[in-house]
Amino acid sequence: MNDSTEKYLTLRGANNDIYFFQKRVNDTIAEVIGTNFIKKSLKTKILSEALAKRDEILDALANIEKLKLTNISDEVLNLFKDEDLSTEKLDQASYERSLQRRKVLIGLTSAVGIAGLPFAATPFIAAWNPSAKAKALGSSVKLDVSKMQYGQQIQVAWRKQPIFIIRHTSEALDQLDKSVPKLADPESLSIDEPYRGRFVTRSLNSEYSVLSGICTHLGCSPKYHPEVEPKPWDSSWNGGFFCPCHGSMFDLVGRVYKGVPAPSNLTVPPHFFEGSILTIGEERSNV
Amino acid sequence: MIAKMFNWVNDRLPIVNTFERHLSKHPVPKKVNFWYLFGALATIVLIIQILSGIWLMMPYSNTEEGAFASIEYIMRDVDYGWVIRYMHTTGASLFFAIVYLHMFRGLLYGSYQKPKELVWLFGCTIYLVMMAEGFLGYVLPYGQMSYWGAQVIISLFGAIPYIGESLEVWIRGDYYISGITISRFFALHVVALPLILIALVFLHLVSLHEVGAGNPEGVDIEKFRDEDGVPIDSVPFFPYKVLSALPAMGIFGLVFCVIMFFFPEGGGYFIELANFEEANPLVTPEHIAPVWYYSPFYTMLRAVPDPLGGLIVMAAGVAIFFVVPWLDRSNVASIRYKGVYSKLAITLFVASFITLGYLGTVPVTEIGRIMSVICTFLYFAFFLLMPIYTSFEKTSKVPDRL
Repeated sequence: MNDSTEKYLTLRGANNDIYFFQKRVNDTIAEVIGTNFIKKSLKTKILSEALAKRDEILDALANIEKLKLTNISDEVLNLFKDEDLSTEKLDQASYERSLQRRKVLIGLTSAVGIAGLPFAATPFIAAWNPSAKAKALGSSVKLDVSKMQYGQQIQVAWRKQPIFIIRHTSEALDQLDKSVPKLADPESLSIDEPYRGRFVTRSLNSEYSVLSGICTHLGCSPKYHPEVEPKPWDSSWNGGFFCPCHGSMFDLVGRVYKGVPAPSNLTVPPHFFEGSILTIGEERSNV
Repeated sequence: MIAKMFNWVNDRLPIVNTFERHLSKHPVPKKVNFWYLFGALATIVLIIQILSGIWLMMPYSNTEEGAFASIEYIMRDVDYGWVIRYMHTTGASLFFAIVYLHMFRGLLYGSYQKPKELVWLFGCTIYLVMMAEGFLGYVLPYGQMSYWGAQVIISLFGAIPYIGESLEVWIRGDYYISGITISRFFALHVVALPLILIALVFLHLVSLHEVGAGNPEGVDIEKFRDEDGVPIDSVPFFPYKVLSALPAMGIFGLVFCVIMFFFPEGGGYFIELANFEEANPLVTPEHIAPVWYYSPFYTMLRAVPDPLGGLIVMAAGVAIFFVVPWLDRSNVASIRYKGVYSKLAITLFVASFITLGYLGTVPVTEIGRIMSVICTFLYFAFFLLMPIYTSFEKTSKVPDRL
């Protein structure tokens, strides 16, 4: 028998064919496992298995010496436990190991629970979206604008929101340039302008403006003041829209003034003209 | 027989224990002033709101076509319906009035200082939930101001970058404030938020009873105890404080009734006059103003030209109350023993808060805009400079006994 490879192993048992582990240990280890001398059956007749188990025990002993008890596997821990010996520290270690396992299990369970939350929340959140009925009611509106007077503004409701339609006089359109120095964004560069560069009216028609009647500040509806005359809010008023809520000003084609609460021009809703029939709320499909 | 029945229940439910712990043996400072009444008054108004609210729910219709008409029906056809409704509207305004006074008491006498931080935090959360509750309730009649007020408030969420616009649609459940919006606001107003509110009030009280009530002197009454361990400068909450609060309750009831019966609209401040007209999504009222209790924050919103900036300033104006316990570095609690800077700061704070409140109810003017910017600065200066002026100023010595 080679001493170096089979160190601490002896053959014992009734037929002298079971490997046993035998080792004398120092006081530090003895304090933990309750004895200075270890003699344990490895319950195997095969040398390679016995060697593996021996190395495992040696590792465990090294850990015990460093008092890293929780590093030792339960199998090896149980090997050291002996009803005759005091093994409180080993019991403590196996309890701490089970706590660690419990923590992992609690963590995993919580993770699964948390991952499930979005699924559980989905119906509650989605039920707040516009219903199919609300979406259907929010489709387009049609009207005939040929009866409008020059300079007249009318309001139609699209999705129950006011849409302003203004039939400009040619003088008013000529005057538009005058207000440009007062405007914050005369070219509508800061917003997504749908019909950029077609007409000064910002719509798809040279005479009519089609504007959302919702102030870009906080959603009030600005009032139409086409008169060119001094107003309480502007001594050189050139005609346009004034929001009574927070005092935002827009020119006749809905471009916002500088220094007012509204951050951007009134938006132009999707629309198209078929002759004098104006459809608001959808684009012409075959342009 | 009755004693036996009582004992049977008491063995199974801690009646006597709870009564003693929270009422008959709960020590409170023996000397406090009228500022300490508003907590109890707020509880009473909460009960009034819940009762009148339940009764209003019965005839109210939460539909686009029916909401405004059902309010008219309550006012005209339901026996005593007008009393129930005016009780609820008066209660709402007085609830806020009382809570503002209650919060001011907290600022005056340092009711947020260690160890009462949690009491204060629960209180601030109650205030936040109340603001949401008040807003949702105001939308339900579906009058002009309901509609346009809600339009402005929901548009605030639209100022949030990227998700703003879809968030607005999601909150409304429609492309405008429709019956869909009303019925969900109704559910939140009558079930969800009241449940949260009651839970928060419970936590507010339990945490208060754990750390003990304060007093105008800022004296720690726990320091001196008699041989039974009861603070010398305390009296049991029941019957001493309960009975002495009764006259105040009577006076409050009188004020409540005078408003409810004679001035339910409160000059257009409690119920805005535009709200006597049904909501019309196509016509904005000439002048949109919030109910008085939101108007200081509304003015802050208007003071900032950019909507997102306005939203942030307004939210910060409310949120800043939450951090007050950590802003005050003073070694005394009560304003009576704080230095001259604290006294000056709180005076300016009250003045700016009232001015902001006034400005929010009137149309925008150039001078008003400047004033609102100045007052917004003063408002925030009170909080943000608090760590500085409370740690440098000279405070006077707080007595040992109350």
